[in-house]
Amino acid sequence: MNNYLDKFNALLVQLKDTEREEVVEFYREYLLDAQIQEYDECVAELGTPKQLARKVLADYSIKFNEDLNGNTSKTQQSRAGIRTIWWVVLALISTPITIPALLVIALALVVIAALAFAAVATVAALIFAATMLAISMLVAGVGVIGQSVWVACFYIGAGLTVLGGELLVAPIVIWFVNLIIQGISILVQRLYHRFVKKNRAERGGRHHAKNR
Amino acid sequence: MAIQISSELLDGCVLACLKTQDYYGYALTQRLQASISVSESTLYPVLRRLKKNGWVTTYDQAYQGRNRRYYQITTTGEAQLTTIQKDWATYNQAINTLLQGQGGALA
Repeated sequence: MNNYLDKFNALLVQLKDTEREEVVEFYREYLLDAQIQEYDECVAELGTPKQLARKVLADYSIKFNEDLNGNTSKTQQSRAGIRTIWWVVLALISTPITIPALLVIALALVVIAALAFAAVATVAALIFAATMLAISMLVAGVGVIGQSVWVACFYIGAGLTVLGGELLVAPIVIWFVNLIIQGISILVQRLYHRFVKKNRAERGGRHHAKNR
Repeated sequence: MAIQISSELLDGCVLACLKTQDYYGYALTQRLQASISVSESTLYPVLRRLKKNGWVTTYDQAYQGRNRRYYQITTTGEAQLTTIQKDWATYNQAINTLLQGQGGALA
């Protein structure tokens, strides 16, 4: 049992010390009261330490993210969003669910990833193209400065305008990327609620219902 | 049982158990599992949520050289239980009406 709880404890490094102690104490007390001693029995009762830890952490992370939405900056929200996606994906992977559900989740994740990648790649390509255009205009402008000052002025001016325009749209681009991350985070949370909560958490009662 | 319980109802069931007496984690799991299917790992998140909302408090009591953490319903918890009971009564009636093929006949 201690071996099981040590492993469980080690997997909860993300939590604050007080919270981690509270979770581990809860399950220690539970296993003592259930008179469960052996590692294998613990696994039969609560799942592997990894499954239990991921379940606990996914629950924390989602609560954490919900708390965040009110009063924090977009960057913090994005970071929390990415963390949520990560933990929920881990929780899903460690969850014994039916094959069709797994296929649906896998497909959904692949589609979401593809869409997000496409959107980010498009934006990156546009920015890259605009930057290259601006740089070549600047180079061309400097190149012709000996021959015609006015043509040089035109090219340099146009190049600087493009660069300036990019700086202007930069906040919009950052907002857009944050929006994508937030959107995916919410989608993944819904997936989590749809499949994990219903399939695993509330299915339960395997041993007690039968044996006692 | 094929029907799965929602988290609001699970909150209500836990609060209703705690209204009759204080429970520690394992005993509460046993109490719930006597009636409905809940997994052994589900209860901690539920109790943590109830505690965070101020619906239950905890206190520790020594038992055989270790601590047992007991959960106790608060006044706001009892108010919440009443709300859930009312919501459930309404919902229960609506579902029963539908399941028995009654109601909705306007003509």
